[in-house]
Amino acid sequence: MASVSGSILIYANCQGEELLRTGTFMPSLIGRIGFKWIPLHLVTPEDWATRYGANFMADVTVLWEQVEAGPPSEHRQELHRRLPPGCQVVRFPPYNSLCLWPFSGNDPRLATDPMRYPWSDSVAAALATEDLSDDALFERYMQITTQRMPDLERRLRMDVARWQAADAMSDIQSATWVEQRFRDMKLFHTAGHLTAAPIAYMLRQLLERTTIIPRSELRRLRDEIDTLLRLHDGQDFESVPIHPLVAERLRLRFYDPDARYRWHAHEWTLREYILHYARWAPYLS
Amino acid sequence: MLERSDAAFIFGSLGNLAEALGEGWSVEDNYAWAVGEESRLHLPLPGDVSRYVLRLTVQPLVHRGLRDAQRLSIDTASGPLASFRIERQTTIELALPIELTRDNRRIELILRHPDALRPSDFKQIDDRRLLSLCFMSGTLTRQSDDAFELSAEAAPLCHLVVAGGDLARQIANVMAALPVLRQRVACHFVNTYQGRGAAVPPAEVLQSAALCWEQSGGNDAAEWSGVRGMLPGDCDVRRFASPRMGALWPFLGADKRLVPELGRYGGGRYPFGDRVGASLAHLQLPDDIVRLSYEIMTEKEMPDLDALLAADRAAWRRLDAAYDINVADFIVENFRRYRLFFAPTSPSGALLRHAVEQLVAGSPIEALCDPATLRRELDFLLTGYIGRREELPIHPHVARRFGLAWWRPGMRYRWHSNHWTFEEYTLRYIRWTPWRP
Repeated sequence: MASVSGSILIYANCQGEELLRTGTFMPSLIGRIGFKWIPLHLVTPEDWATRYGANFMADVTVLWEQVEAGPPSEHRQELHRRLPPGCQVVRFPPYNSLCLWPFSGNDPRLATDPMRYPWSDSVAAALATEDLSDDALFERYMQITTQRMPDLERRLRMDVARWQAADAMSDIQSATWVEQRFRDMKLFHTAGHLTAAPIAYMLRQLLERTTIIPRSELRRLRDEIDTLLRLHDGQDFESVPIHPLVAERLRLRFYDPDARYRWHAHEWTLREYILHYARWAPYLS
Repeated sequence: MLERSDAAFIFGSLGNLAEALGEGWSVEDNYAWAVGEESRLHLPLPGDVSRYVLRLTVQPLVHRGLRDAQRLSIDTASGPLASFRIERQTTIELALPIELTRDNRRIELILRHPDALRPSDFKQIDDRRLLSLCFMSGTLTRQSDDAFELSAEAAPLCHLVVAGGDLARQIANVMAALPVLRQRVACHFVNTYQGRGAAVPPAEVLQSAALCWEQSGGNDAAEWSGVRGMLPGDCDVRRFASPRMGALWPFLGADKRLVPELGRYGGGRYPFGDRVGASLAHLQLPDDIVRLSYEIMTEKEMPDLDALLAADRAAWRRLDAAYDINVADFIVENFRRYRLFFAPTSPSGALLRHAVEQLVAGSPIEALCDPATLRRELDFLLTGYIGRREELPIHPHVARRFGLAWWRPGMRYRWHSNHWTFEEYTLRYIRWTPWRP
């Protein structure tokens, strides 16, 4: 076994945490390559002074950097100022999908309780104050969402355009991979949370482009990723059900109308999820 | 002053305010931009005599160096209501005048926003709309000075202390989440299995606790006994234990490979030992041969399942005799029809519900709420409960022998975020394969 080769720093949203957690459990990398993660969506100016100082950066030999639209943020600029000399940078795109949840609009309850059901559904929110039985509420929800279903092909084209734009800024491309697979396999639990397949795909690509990884080890590392993630659900702690009409319009072949979706310590059907969401019901974690 | 939300407003073409937007709006799917310098909002009202507060969540169009904030004033035909300076996404609040809302089904609000910008003036885009504020959502909230108008059954707060290990924690979580008990029962969990250092409620809570539910086992060595002494003499104390079911997993046994792996598997890689699986661990054979070997060995060594069930039943009866809740009959009558255990000591939602109902029955809590509502909320709360997400797969022979109605061939079991069949789990166990939480 080769000696320790330093740390890979991941600068990314919560998808970076998935890369870190998988990398940490890969037997061939244990004790040789460490993983660190700076959550780009959470990092604060104080963090640079307290958590991500010289000691944190000292052993970083590779940066896996998730790209973002727009000019570089102050945090991203600060990160680059702190990278050790010679650090390899591999840029990769975020994955996200808005077309699968077309009613993820606004919910006034989020203003005071932003974490209970953070993946909003504006139709269910509008029904929240109506005095309806469970059956009547769900029936009304299905009726309204069916009437108001937007042009999903247009939404998909917008998603694809964003995927391609992110690819253009990255060393790794994912748009074609996602576009070719999203109808056959579930890739997203929410607009921004992933199943294991895209995590595995991205991790393989990143390791292949990481120069401290000996080429001779790549096959074994691919096998280890497969062992860890083939039957894994990815970021499933909040999985938002897909509307049957969305599945029909977007021709999602993986779709199971009876599927149960994890929500913390529960697994709910679409109906159960909508009832809990509309009623802003407490749940167990 | 108490409040109750009476209406939720969602802006945008997918929302529910399409008919309320008059002049001065640019509507998109999930929000509506106020355009120009003035917009009109014909807000629907319940048409009763209550006082209402309107809250609107808005996002200003700002651009550093050009516009740091958007001003917004809200008027009615009778005069000004409120004005705001909005720098970031904000929920603004304004009390609607009773003289304009009483018995009215609608109120017209005139929104004045003098600081609008054209995105094309500072971005490389072709958007020449004059935009100021993006309206996202809102609520209309009825206000009342009379506490009983909104909460007719207000009652003094009752402190419940739940002490013990994992089952106690789950029971405490359930009790804390039930809406019918909110503002009636304050639930405090004490993890007595952590020993010294476990967080305990403040002394005044312990000294005034009306109820204490205490899980047996692990308490003696902890500081719990000292804490318990602070409970008042009239505290309704009930004791319970975590029932264990071994008959569904007849090969449970020690495995010398099971050690804590710090940073990865604190409780060990596969915490439920399988003596047959462990005995095959040394085999360097292809997967199908290992699987076949396990199948043959477990068939040959399958214990008398009826005897194991009888032993479980006897143990449950002993718990019933020693503690304040009864589980034996419930488990015996239901374990074939419903899944009651995810693993030997991990209760499913059905068993957890039974335990909570038993603890509540005849306790002071029954006097604090409608029992039918409590049962309905328990059902709703425990819908699809998956517990700790450690489901120990059941040998197909055991499932068939007991006639488990909820079991099916090829069934997948959740192991944290993994889903494995019995065969996949077993092979991974024998190989001691790393897994990702």
